[in-house]
Amino acid sequence: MEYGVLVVVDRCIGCRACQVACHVWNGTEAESTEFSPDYTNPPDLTSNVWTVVRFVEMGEGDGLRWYFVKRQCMHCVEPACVAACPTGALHKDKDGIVLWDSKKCIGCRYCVEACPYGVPHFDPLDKTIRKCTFCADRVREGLEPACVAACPTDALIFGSLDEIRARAEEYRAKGHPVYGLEEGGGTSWIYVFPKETAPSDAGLPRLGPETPRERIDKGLLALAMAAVAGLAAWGVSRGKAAPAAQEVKVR
Amino acid sequence: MTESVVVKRRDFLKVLGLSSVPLLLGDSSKLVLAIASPSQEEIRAMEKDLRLTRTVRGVCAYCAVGCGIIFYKVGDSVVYVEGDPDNPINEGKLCPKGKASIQLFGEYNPRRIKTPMIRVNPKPTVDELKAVRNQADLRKIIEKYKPVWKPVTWDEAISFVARKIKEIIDEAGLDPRQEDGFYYNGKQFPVMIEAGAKLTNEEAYLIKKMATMMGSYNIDHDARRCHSTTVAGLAGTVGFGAQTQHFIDTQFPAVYLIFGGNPAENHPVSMRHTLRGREERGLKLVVVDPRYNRTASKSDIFAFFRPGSDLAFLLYILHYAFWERNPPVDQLNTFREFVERFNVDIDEIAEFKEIAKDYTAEEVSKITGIPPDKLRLIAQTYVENSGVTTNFQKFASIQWAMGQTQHHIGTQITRMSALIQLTLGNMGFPGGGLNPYRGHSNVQGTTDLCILSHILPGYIKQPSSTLQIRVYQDWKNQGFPDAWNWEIPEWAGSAFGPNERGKVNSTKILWSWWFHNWRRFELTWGIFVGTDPEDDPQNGTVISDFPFGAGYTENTWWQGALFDDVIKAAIIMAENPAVSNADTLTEYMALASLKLLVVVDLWETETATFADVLLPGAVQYEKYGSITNSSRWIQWQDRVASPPGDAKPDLWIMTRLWEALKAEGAVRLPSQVYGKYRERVLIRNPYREGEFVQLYERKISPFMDYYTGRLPDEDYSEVDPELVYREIDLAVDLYNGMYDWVDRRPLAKRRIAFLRGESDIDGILDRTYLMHKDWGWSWPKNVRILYNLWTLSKTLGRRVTYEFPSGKYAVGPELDGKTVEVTGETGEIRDAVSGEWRPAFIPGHNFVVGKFYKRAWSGVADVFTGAVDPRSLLSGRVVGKFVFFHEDGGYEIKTADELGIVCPLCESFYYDQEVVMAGKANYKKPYFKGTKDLGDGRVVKYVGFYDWRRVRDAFTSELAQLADQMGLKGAIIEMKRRYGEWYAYPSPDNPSEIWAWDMRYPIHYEPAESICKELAVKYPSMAWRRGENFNLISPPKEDFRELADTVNLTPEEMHVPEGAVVVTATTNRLTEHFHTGQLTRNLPLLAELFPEPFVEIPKPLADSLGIKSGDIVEVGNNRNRIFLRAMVTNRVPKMAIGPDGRECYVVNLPWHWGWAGAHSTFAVVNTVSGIYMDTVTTMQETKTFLAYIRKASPADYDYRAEGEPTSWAAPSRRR
Repeated sequence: MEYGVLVVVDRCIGCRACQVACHVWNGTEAESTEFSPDYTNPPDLTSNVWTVVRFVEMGEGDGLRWYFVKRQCMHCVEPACVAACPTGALHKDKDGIVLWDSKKCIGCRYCVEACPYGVPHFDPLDKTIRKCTFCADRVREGLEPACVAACPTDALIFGSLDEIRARAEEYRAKGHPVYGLEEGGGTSWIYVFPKETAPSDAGLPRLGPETPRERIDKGLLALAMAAVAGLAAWGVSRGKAAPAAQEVKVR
Repeated sequence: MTESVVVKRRDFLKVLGLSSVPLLLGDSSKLVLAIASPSQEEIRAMEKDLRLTRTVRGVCAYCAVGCGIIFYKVGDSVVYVEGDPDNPINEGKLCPKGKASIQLFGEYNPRRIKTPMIRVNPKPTVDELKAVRNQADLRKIIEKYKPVWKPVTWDEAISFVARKIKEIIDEAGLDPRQEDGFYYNGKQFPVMIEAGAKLTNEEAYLIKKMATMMGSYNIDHDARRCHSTTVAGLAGTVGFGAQTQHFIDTQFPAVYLIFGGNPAENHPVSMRHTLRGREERGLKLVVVDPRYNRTASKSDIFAFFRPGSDLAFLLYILHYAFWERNPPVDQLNTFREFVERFNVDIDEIAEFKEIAKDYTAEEVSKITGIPPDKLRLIAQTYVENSGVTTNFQKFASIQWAMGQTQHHIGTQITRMSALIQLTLGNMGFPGGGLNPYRGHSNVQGTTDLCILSHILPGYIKQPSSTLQIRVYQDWKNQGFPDAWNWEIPEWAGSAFGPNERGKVNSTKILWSWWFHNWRRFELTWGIFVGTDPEDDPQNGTVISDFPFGAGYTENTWWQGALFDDVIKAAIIMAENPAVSNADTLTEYMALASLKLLVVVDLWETETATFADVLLPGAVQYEKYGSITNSSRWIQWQDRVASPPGDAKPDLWIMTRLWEALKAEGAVRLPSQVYGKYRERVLIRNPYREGEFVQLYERKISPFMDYYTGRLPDEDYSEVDPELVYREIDLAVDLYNGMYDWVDRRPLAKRRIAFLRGESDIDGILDRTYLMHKDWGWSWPKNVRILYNLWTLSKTLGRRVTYEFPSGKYAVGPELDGKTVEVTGETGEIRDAVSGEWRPAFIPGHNFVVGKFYKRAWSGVADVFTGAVDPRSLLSGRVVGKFVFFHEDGGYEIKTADELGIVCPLCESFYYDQEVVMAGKANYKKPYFKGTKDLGDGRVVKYVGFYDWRRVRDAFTSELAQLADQMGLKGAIIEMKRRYGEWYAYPSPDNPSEIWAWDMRYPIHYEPAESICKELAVKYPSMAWRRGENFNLISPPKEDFRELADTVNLTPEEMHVPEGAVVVTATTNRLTEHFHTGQLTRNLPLLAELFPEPFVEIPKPLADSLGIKSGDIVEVGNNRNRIFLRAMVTNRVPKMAIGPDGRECYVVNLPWHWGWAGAHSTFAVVNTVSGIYMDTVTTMQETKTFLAYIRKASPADYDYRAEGEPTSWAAPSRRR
């Protein structure tokens, strides 16, 4: 059985218990951050921050909207990072969880470039990449991921991917924009957005239904363009991801 | 993390055969991460550790939602934290603060202080602080006087403090020998005690007990600054100043108006239930707030409003209901039925209707900035989903927190919320009521147990005259009667209620309740209040171990130190007023003026900067004790870990201090000074004039001995919190019932998440509305919905009866042998005679019930049938004597055993229809009554609305005229000089009589500092009615005259620098931080989310000032200037207000930062807020004040992240 999580953005109150819970379970250090102009902090995922809540403010007056979108590894059905990993360190397990083996990771950072969501981050001390593990050590023992377990308003729903996809379809039938059913061949983390909003407002990349493998087949240029578009959307402007985007061109 | 770790960890769990046991979740992420590929040796070590893994349960230490929290320990190390899945409040969930709270423990937090310390260098001086006008000035002083500490032992520290306090008390020359008796004046005590809302119930109760026994009412706590106006406003209107619903119940309203609160940020887990209601039950979430906050993001209807215009908005809801709706609500039969059943006076409603008439949508729009159409939409949504308009099938409910309370008329605002709910039939139902959410984990408990300067534990009156003591002694001599059986002596006059036996009014009922509680305190504290001799109440010598009067509050004490020269020392436990007090520069001066300041805290706080002695305290998780959440649920905290180093729980510290003070001779009770060591408990023979029967004698000796040696911890061996818990159950009627004297167990420890069966007491309600009545205990008498009288009969249409078999229960003839109908939630009590559970409030729970009672043992036995000393009472031994008089004058004394009484400690209170219906909601509540002689032939007379309306326009137009000539500040001083009172004007009928508004109903008052002068004179602030506020514009002491220059009541009075714009400023809190920031800035996991101080600025204003997000801006006024980061957003408004629809901007200042600890700055937000105090409670007006804002230079910013060393990450991570 593959696991999945439904992120119901309408239920999220932006409290960031998930962000703290991730640290507490995984033992990752807090980042030393600076002022953030929009509450999102740190502004991007890092090698220590495997999930971060993005605050999206739109409009003004009666049209003002503010909503909160949790970011973490999407655990793609066909992960671009796995396709890009030259050593097989990154791999997708039978239960759908995308993990890496630090002994095999050579720190090449191809995955960093390949991921359309800007998820894997290189840890300069460990010299390996690090990212959300879907709390494999919890879910394989029958527990929910730490972030899901903490979420006060049940904005995160954990279950089998089939069940999660079915619930996402129900939301879509009611007119909610849904992300992750088809994008990039589909993801294990699927988002339900409030009506009258679009996933792209929250910085999710506009991806077609084709999988990374199909895109690779179409040639490296397309991959590079998709990656650049994805990274740009996910916050290249915040600086940290910018060098990676340039490297893509070099490739 | 590598996959190999994951696999190994799973295998490891399987090896142990424990992987399916959820408890073993506690196998410590730290532990496993520490071992990348465990060797056999390491696995054996882990096996050993895992066998030692255990869980400790408690209550989250941050806000007052009361989430259950579980800590996982391996050996002495706390390794993981998670929400308690069994707890129905949070169902396993936690907010980021609860989740991060593992970093509060000493093993993770290097900033925790670990040893007592005495200061060896000088402190900042008052004169230097007086000159501070910007944060750089403050920084210079604080850095110049940075404390230098000498570590000392506890013995040294405690004896140093006790010796100093003794000296200070001696200098003050306090003596209980007064002209008319033996008692202290509670406001003269030279030591101010501030004891925070983080104390457990046991600690809160003991600190108030200690202060009272020392003769002091100069004791207060941070509830003064958060919900004092809620408590006063609601208690004065409907009986209790508390949340009437509970968190799980917030899914049941049809409309939930969030007005003055922000639960998504400040009580995140509460939103679990509210959003569940929204999704599953169609709850409509309406948010009205000065900023579009995280709660607003979930709203169905949202409106910005100008902070300080709260009353106008609320008044419009009733304007709509009375004047716009067709038919008006007061013409509905449901309305008439409701107000009759709840004893609301129909004439009062007529008077109030006249007030509401003026608050039209158009007028209110000019005051609030909410467009008229939106006002109508909100009012309509609210009114049409209310009890009276839906035949009690749907209810609209109100939630608030500091938004309603922190105003100089906060009491009026919260009261207005109650009046709306009363008028619309939304009071006292599941889904309908009042929801003030409280901020600190135990602030409800510390309020109930009254770490407050004006009431004794359980909201009991403090005596103010010897007559009261004489009447009390006479009451004792009548056999401790209830109000119905009490015969008030003629010589007492009319102040206590009707003198005739059998006749009652609410005054008489309240006095009998207070007296009953005084008796509880006498018996449990080992003190004496009464006359000597006991049988001559009219002429005997008055001795009162309760001091008289009321003391300084947290907001007035600085005037007690600086203006009145009374306060010379302070003990501050678990509070950080140097950041939280409004107009903080005045607080700094007061702190600096002290001869002794003792601070007990977890950290070296901003307040500690001014301390002479700094003592290391314990966080809630390092204590044992009970915690009361915002909705009155009492739950138990077990100790998770010992505090670091030499740090100690407050219970230990305060009892040690008490012993030392006693040894120094600083504790001298009036009874001891008089030499009264025994009380003869005498009951007057009603059939023989002048004859008294002695029931028993008891020892008088102040009791503070809680030794049991039951707990393993060294610092809890001397004081057992469970023993104190038992004493609270006995001493405080409000909490009576939380200890089960039959099965001998604290009900706070009860953890039964199952719902009751239909045939159980309150079973139908429990099942239908998820009350979870067997989880913990809730006051009063385990009631979960306050004032619930009608749900069974009206909403559910059920007929439920309860039988009181003859002679079985300790109840009177009204219930004994009868079968009665139960229409609402009754709560339950252990019956004194049978020892069985029985329903408490029959037929349900109307206003004030809980304070009103009948007593089966009225006239025949002492409270609990008497106790020779407190220690035996606590161990369950009572005197157990009853006296029965015969009409021929003879009498017999019987014992409890002879009478077959199973549980004398259960007391014999019962509540019948008559008691329930005696409870009356105070629709009208004059806060000022009678007359005041001005001494020049003129008299001020406090008048109601009809009279006030006749002079109102003359009053405001004279004020407006004067304000044009001399500015508003001058005009106020002049008006008060002319008429001897504020909000006063000569009567049109008789010029020597000055009419002053008695504040009987809420009307709109502008904030003390108003952005719009036209509104400020049309709806003048009420602040100046109160002396301490008048002191701000007219300081009474020469040295402090210049303080008046720091006041800016209108933009014209402010010194505004070039390039700045004057705005309305408001303050608030963020999800990720807590109050003064010490409990969150010092935790790296939370600091990651909001490291730096900032101000939220409306985008149009920022654009016009050239300010971008991240820029440094100056926020200032006449009080101070501070420098913060700008956050430019459309979530704070630009609005149109006033007669001319002028532009008005609101900026928002989160106030979590100060100069101590991690992520520090001298930009303390409260140094620019004002300290205009509530006319009733002295609450400060921090929710609205004037400030200017402009772009500043980055050089002015003094934030320091101070590279926090984190001990959080697993030790091996960086190996």
